[in-house]
Amino acid sequence: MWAEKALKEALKEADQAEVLEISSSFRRVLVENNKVVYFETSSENSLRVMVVKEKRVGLASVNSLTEERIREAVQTAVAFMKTSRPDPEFCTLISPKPLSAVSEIFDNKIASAEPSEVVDYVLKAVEKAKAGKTVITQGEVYLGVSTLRLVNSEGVDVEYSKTRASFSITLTAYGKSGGSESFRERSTIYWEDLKLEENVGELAELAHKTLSPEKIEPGEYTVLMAPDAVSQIISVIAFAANADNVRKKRSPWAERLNTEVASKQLTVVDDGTLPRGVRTAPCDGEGYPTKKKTVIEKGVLKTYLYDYYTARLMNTESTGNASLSRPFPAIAATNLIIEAGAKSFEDLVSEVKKGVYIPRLPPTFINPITGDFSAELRQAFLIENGELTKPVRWGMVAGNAYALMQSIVEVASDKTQLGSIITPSILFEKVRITG
Amino acid sequence: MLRELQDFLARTIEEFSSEAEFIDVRAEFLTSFSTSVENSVLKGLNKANSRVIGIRALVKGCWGIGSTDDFSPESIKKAFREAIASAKALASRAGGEVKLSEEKVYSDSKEVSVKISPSDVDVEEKIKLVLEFNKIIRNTDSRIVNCRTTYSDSSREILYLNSEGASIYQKLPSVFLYASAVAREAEKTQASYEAIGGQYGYEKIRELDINELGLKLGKEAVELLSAETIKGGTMTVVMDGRVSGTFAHEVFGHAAEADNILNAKSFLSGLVGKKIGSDEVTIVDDATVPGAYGSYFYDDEGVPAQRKVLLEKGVLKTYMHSRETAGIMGVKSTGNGRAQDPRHRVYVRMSNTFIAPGNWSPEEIIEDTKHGVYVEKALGGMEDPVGGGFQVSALKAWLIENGELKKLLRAVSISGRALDILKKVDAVGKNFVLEPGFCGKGYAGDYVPVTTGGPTVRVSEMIVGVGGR
Repeated sequence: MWAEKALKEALKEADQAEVLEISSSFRRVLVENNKVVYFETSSENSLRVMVVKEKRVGLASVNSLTEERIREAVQTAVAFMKTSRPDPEFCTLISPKPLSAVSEIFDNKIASAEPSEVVDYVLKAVEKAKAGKTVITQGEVYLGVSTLRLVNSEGVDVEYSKTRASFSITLTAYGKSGGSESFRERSTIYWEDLKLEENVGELAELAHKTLSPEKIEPGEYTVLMAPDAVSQIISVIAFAANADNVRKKRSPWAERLNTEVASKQLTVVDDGTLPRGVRTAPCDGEGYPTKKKTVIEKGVLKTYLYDYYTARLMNTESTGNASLSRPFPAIAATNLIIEAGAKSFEDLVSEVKKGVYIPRLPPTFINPITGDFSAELRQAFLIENGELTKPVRWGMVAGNAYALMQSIVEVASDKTQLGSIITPSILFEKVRITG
Repeated sequence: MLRELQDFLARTIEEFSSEAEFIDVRAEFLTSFSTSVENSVLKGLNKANSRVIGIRALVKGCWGIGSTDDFSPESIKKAFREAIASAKALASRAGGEVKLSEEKVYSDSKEVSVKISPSDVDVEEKIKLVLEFNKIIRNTDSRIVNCRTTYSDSSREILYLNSEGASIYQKLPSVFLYASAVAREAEKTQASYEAIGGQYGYEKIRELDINELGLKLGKEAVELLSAETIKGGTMTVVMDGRVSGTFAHEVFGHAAEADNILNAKSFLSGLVGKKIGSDEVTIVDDATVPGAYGSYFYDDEGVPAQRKVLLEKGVLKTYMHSRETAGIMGVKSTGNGRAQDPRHRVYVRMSNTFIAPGNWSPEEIIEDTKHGVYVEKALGGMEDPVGGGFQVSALKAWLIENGELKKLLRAVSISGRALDILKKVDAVGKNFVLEPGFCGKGYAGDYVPVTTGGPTVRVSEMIVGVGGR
């Protein structure tokens, strides 16, 4: 309800303006040591105004919305616009475009959840952990609702509401020689898709199976990565395919369009319209309709991800990948989907003579510019003669994320929606593991 | 306005005090300014102004938090009711055991004093700074294809009141200058960064020699283009202050947080009073370092900030506590109860955590090393308080041969087990740096300002891993 007022106020001085208003609320329940310890409830209304005159940009954001605070924000943005320097690459804000038809981005069950329901949901998961003789050492469950309104001086006026459910769980099993810690996080639009209890069960099983690891023998292995591990490696795609990084030569995929950047087994789709996709919306952060596009087809790079600002500079169309951040350009992947292969996870295991199965990697810094990384093996298993055998640890997977994408042997038929990344398990060859 | 709010909050706490064992309120007012230049283009000027109020209520050993950004009396009271209702929803189902330690109650008002308030500095000067800094970096070499420079400042005011009568106001300003440079040659791309800042006024920025800083950064990115890789293995590792600080923070620090001890999530459990490291190594968490980004006057439970020696000459002395962990363990809080903001819970959090400086000059440490690697600039490490495993990737490294830095290396990471590393520290430098950053705990969204840093530190044996193609 504040957006028009702010826009009107801004246009008294600016040539063009854009206002983003977000009202949001969340509930978060925190678990420690199998006890539910904190229940948080929060609500907020915020607004951001961007003003442009003669290619000079001013920005201000404010929350706790009152008429006075909004007026002050607009005045600040206008004052900044006047002192700023022109951005020669800025052309115009976009005019209204037909929106994408998207469905299933709002779950009424989240919006209407009673505090007691949320607590009971989490308690059930704690019971599951206890039954599996494990402890949720740290966990959180989040349920949020937000309504977003984007208006600009050219006539864009979009409003939509979304819900989000997510969890992050660290679960530990204890044995004679210490503990084994499992970790997982998931994010969904619908509460029912979160499947907390089921995930806790799987984490408990994994923690028990990895209680007494042996030291891994350094060497080159065929490596089967589960979706949680794969998602870390392939997260560099969002950086490398980002058209701004391409244009500014930060991306290793600059000037690589229609060439092979990955193994023939890899097909990657970015889909901003996916039903129940956590980054699904009728339009992107500039107001441009979201789209579904194949980024990598059988290893060949088919398109970069563009916002309108960058697309115009590169003489092409936006792919609907503008994010909500400002100033321009601001490009992000939406729902990044790795297409499933034909063989099941079990089939892939059975084909490996000597290899390593990695359910997940610890959060690892992957240098997106070079792709270099090394990640400690914490929970992993040997694959010997087509079977998962003993747990191993104390080694490091050392390599390069871009090179790894070239060494994909097979993509499994299983598929997990982790959050904005949806991926099957993937089999890689010649992965270096150091001691 | 603050005075009025303070009075209103005190009255409202009183009004609701019969419904909870304990109530505290945090109100935060945050204004920040930032501007960036990418290559030669100024990417706008940005100001953010936010405020939020959070109420924490303890009912039958369970916590509820209600927060809002709406400062009308009705909304604030609604947040009180939500906090209490949430705590009750937990108490009736789960049952809690939270008990707070007894602490002295303070009424105080504190402010970090600065010579030049950033808000008094003309925006034009800040624009010229980022433009000029950017130009210097790009002019160092034609292979620098991209350069981003960012200046930001902020002012954070926090009001704390609780049902025991505490009433504390503190104001923490900050300034930052950040730069990244990307160098490219043929198919090779490398990048480097520099971050400077903390709780200072604009004088800190005016004191900087941006010519020298810019040249150093530009050169570093270009040099990395010709960096080599080596075969990994076990060898002597010399860590610069930023890497040794990452070790002190990620591995030792997190494991010394008392909630991790209570949750059986720490390899330091049961080791207080035990000798676990070499005589060379002393580790401190000091929330009172002037200017450091992780400093404060009072924590988010109204307990004064303190300097704690966690490990003294290899002997574990104490854990870090909030009032909650101190209450359970029967000790006093060490003033480490911190929350990202009033929307979020209080955890045991670090402030400025580092290995205390020793007697060696950094040059002496290198000269004294026969064969090993010198690692510089941590690129993110990961805690493993349970297993005590340590791993960090370094932006760059040098191969040391017979006391000399021989070859520039890229994509090096080091790892090992904390208890092994602590025993193998055999030289600690007298040099000292602190780099501002954020520490996450729990999951998405629980970040607090900290610093990472310390002296140059040598470990006689660690695992060196090498990524890269």
